[in-house]
Amino acid sequence: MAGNEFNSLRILIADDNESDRIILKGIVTKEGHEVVQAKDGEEALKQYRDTRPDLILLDVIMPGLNGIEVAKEVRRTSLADEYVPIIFLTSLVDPKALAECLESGGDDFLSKPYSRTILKAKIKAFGRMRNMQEKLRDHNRQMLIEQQVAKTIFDNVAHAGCLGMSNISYSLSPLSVFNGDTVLAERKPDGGMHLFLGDFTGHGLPAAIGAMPLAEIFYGMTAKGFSTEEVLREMNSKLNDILPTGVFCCGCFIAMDFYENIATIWVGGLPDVVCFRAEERSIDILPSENLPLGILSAEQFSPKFTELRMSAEDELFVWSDGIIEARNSENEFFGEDRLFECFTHEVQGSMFQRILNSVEEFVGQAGAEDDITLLSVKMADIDEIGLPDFNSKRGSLGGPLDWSFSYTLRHLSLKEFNPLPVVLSIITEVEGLRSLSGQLYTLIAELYSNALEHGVLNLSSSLKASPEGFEKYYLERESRLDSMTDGSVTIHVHHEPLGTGGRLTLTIDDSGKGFDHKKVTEAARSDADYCGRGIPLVKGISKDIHYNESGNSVTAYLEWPQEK
Amino acid sequence: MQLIDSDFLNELQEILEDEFCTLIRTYVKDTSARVDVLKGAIQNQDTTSVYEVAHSIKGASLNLGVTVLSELCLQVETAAREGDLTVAERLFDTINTKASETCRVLQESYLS
Repeated sequence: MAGNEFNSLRILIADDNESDRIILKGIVTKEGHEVVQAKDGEEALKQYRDTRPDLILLDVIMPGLNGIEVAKEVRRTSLADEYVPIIFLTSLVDPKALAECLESGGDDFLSKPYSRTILKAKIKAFGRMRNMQEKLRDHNRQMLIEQQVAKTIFDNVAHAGCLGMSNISYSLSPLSVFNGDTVLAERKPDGGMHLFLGDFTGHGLPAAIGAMPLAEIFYGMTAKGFSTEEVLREMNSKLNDILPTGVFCCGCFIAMDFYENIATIWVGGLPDVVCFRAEERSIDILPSENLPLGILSAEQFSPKFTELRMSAEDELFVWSDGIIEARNSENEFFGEDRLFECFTHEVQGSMFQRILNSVEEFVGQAGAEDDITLLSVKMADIDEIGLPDFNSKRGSLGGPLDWSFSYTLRHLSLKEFNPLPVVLSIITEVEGLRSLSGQLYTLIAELYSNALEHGVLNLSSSLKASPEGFEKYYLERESRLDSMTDGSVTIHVHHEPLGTGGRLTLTIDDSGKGFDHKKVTEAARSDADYCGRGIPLVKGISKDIHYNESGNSVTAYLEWPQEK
Repeated sequence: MQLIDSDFLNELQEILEDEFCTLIRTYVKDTSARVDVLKGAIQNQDTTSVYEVAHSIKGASLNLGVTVLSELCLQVETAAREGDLTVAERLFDTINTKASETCRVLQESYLS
C-alpha cells in the first residue's frame, strides 16, 4: 500500500486463554488489522506457516509447545529476508524469564492487563519496521538484478580472452567480480601470452568497477602487440587516474614466451607466486617486489620484473589472499605453510586440483573453493600451443584495400620506441588481415628486429648459439643502442586488392651495410635451436620473401584469404 | 477493595461491543472451571499444576480488571513456582469465595 500511511497487517494471536484472545482480537480488529488465532503452540506454528502473518502476539505459558519453543521454531524456519516480529504476551515479572523470551527470538513484551493504547503503539512501531524491511528487500532484490547485469557485461569484457586454453587452470567464484578478484589471459600476436590476476581492495560494486577498464586495456593492448611493460604501465596509470585514494589493485602480471620458454613476472602486493618445477618437484618462490596498481603515478611507476626460464610442464601458481585466509571450523587460517606443503607431495592428477582439494579438506565443507581465486599456467612449446587466432569481431567487411605507407624510425626513436603495435594496427584495418594478426606480428617483429639488430647495430646472430651467448647478445644490444648516433629503419607497407582478397607487400630497409643472407638462411636451416629461428618461421608465414643483393632490404609478400 | 474495576470494564465494553458479553461468559465459565482444577491440584499436591492454573486465573483476571482475585492468585503462583504449596492451601477458600462473588457480580452487572 505505497503512499498510504496506514497498513493493515495480518496478526497472529496465540494464547491458550480464551478471554485473553477475545480482548486482544477486539483491540486488534478495532485498529483495522486482520486477526488469525491459535489456542496452543502447535496451532500457532501451523497458522504461522499457513497464513504468513506480519506480526505474532505470543503467549509464553501454553500447554504443549510453549511460546519460547514456538518463537525458536519460527526463527529457525523463516527465511533471512522474511523477519516476522514477535511480541510476547506475559504477566511474568522474573527478569530471567523475560530475558529468555528475548533470547528465543522475541522482540518485545506486552504485559497484562492489555492496554489498548500501548498495543496500538506497538503494532504501529512493528508495522513501520515491517515496511522498512519490505523496502530493504525490494532494494536488495533490485541490487541483485543490477549485479547480475553488471556481471554479464563484465564477463563479456573480462572473459573474452584465452582462459580456456589447455595450459591454463583457474578457479574463480562466479560472482568474484564483486569480491574484487579478476583473472585475465590473452594471447599476444607474437605467439606469447599475457596473464593477470588482480585483487581489488574492498568488496561489492566499488571493487568491481575498476576491473572493467583494467580488462579493456589488458585485452586491447595485448592483442595489438604492446609489450608487457607498456600494457602494465597503462593499466597502472588508468587505475591511478580513476580510483579514489585507498582503492587499489594487488596483482600479478605474467608474460609467457613459448619460443624461448621464459616467463616474465611482475608481482605487486599479492602473496608470493610459486613456480613449480615438475621435473625436480621443487618450487621457486617469487615474493612481491612492487606496489599494487593504481597507487603510483605514471612517472613514479617503475615496474620490477623477474625473468624465469621454465621447462615445459613447469607451472606458475598465483593466488589472492583468499586461499591463505580460508578458515576451518576452528577459525584457523589455511596459511602459506599448508599451501607450500601441497607441492611437496606426490600427486595423482594435477597440482592445481590437489591444492583445491587440500583447501576443501581443510575447510571441511564441499564448495569451499567457491571463494578462492587461483590461477596456474604451464610452460609449453609454441608448436604445441600454436599461434593465436584473432577472429574478426567487427561488423563491417572490407576496410581499406588499396593503400601504402612508409614509416622511418631514426636513431633516437629506435632507442626508445616499439613501432609494431602502430604498424600492426594500421594493417589490421584490412578486415581480411585481422584474423592473421598473430602471424603478421611475428613476421614484422622478426624482420624488424633483424633490421635493427643485425642491420643497424651490426650484431652477429651467431652469438646466440648458446644460453650464455643469449645474455651476452642482449647486453651488447643494449650498449650499442645506447651509444648509437645515427642509423634508421624504414618500414614500407603496400596493400592492393587481389581476387576476393588482397595482397600485402612489406619491405623493411635498414641503414646497415647488409649481410650475406644466403649463408644465414642455410645456417638457420641446419641449427634451429637458438639462432636464426626467424627466417624459417617467416618463410612459413609469407608467400614469398626476398632480400636485395646487399642484404639491407627485405621484402615479404602475404596474400589473403589463406587456405586453412 | 472492590472486586471489579467498573471503569476498566466499561472501556473494554466500548472496544469489544457485542463481543463483550462473550468475554464475560467465557471468563465466568473458565474461572469456575479453573478453581475446581486448582482444588484438585492442591489435593494431589501437584505443584506444577497449581502454578499453571493460578497463573491462568491471574492472567485472565488481570485483563478484566479483576484485581482482588488476580492478587490472590499471584501469591499462590509465586509460592508454587518455588515448590511451596502452603500458600495455596491457606488461600484456597478465599480464592474460591472471591471467584464466586466476582462471577456473580459480573453476570448481574453485564449479562442481565
